[in-house]
Amino acid sequence: MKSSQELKLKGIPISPGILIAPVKVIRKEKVKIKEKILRSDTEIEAEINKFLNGIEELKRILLDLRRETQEQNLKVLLDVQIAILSDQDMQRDVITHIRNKRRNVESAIFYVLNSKKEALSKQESSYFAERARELERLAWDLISVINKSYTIADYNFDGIIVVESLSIEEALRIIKSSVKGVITEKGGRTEHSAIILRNFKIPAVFGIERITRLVDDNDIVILDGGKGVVIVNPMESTLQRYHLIKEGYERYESELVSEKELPAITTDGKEIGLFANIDVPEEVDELLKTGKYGIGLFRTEMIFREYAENEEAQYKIYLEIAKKIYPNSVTIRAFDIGGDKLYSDYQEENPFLGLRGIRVLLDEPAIFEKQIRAVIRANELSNIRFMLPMVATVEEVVEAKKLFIQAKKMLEKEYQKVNQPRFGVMIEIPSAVLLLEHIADIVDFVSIGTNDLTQYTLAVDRKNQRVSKIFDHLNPAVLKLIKMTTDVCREKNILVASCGEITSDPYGVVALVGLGVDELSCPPSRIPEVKSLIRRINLQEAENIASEVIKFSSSREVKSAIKNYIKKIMPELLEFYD
Amino acid sequence: MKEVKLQIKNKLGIHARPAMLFAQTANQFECDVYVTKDDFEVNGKSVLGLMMLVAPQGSEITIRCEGPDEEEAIKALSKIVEEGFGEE
Repeated sequence: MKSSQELKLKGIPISPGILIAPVKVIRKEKVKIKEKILRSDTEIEAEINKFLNGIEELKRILLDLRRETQEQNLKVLLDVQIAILSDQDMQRDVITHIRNKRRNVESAIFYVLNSKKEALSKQESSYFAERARELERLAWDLISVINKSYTIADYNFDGIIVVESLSIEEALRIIKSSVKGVITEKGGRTEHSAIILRNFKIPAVFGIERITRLVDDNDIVILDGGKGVVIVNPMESTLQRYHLIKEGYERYESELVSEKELPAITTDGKEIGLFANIDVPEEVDELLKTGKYGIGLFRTEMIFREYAENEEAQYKIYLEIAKKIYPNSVTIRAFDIGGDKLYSDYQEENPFLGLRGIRVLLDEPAIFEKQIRAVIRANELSNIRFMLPMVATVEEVVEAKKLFIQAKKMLEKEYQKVNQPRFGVMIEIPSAVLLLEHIADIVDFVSIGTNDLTQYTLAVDRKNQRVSKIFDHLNPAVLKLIKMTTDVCREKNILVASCGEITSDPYGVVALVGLGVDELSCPPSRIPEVKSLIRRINLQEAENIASEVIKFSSSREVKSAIKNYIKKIMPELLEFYD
Repeated sequence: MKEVKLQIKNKLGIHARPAMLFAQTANQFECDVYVTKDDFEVNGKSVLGLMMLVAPQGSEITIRCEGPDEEEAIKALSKIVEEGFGEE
């Protein structure tokens, strides 16, 4: 029930920015289907016409969206939906239902598509469960197009969209509309819709329970995307306070933009390589609007879903990105599947300790080889690096490197000249740190993935709310492992990068710079801020702090020492982020 | 009538994209196209129908074409399946 009291709700910070704006609630699932019995043949023909017009209209909408979409995966997704709408059997079934059962078009569509959906849901595979959900969404979209209640108009709302959950398609519509912000009930930071919003700088908070029922259309709501806070029914005093915070934030943002062309260099002259993490190829263009940056982590799991077995398609995608990013480099991470990104339906009791990352790739050499070949072939401009996820042992690296070199030799026979990409590994398992002196001899670089490194060091699953409090990448144990890594890399003279969430945490940035990491890779939207911070860090001071904090006993102490330093060099940073 | 028995080769089986590819090709021909797996028969010109087959890697399907251009149709459709729906 709606209350008129001010309510401060905490969700997941998805995309920073402060909004004080009216909301529009989209209740997709709430469209009620009323079954109507048709009395006359004229009525029947009218319903059939509505159906055929609705199909054409929705196809047109999807085609428009497809035209505006750059990303290949999303195009395929839309193609499938268009093909389903064009399916003659489906159309005939719906028309027959209208005609023979004398039912209205909405209930006929619901009947036909729902029966297909249920057949799919019965399958054991999660893949078909996903398809079933998509089919259901398509049915609802079609019904709402026919009812003239299709939500495309809603996305032209000049305010905040409140919705139960956000799909990739909806996120794509939103970034092309006048919508200013998004609040959802479900979803997390790594969802594709979240990543799209973040990269297109649409402030957003996800995971506010029951929010679609707590607000009504045109209510004024405060959204603080940096802190993950939503305030419903704000009091006058709260509104005033947030207007000031908003102004301060905007001033701060414009200061960041003014440093756009400047290098990420410490006050005493060390340049830190600043790179972006990219999940879907579509983000690349947006990144280049932020500035001329390379890619420090190109995740290929989305590509795996569609093109695992298609070397040619992968080659084209990698090549296009490498060309766009040139002269900067692109680090392509091999398919990191398994664990929370489980693809097969085999249930492991302990997936994070199971078949994932490099283990899957060595288990499925045919798939791995196709990716290796595509990556090597795409390295036409010699700006590609290739890295292995989840390395635990030296043998894994040796075996993967062997496949890599074999593929290169084969390609030399087929294409005469190929450029061997730089070859590296992710450091995200403590054993890889402890064995790094051996690994370092066969790789060109390493990249510390702090999310998994923290998870495996502290033995804590951060998605498990009962223990997620223990998860902290600033724990001295984690920092010590990072220090060991940079020490070995320095000695062996190889490049050391970092690409976990720690790189968008100001505290983490100070620690990493001080610990001797050469390159940081963070989400594109965080680059301006991280750069600004680096430009205020004195390397000598950061090194002193780093050597101090790794001796501490808790992350609380680490945080407070670094906080004092940030207060000194960039106090405004602490105002807008937790 | 032309009939051929084939094995699904690509890793993900007949998921949405292969279903679309198959139906699009089938629709270019005049003849009727049926696909059968484990006694379950669907219209080979229907994307939704093909998705309902749930044919994973290694499963066997039968393609049956009936009509004036059945010869060409069965050739084209077998090729798509043989090539793992372009996923190899």
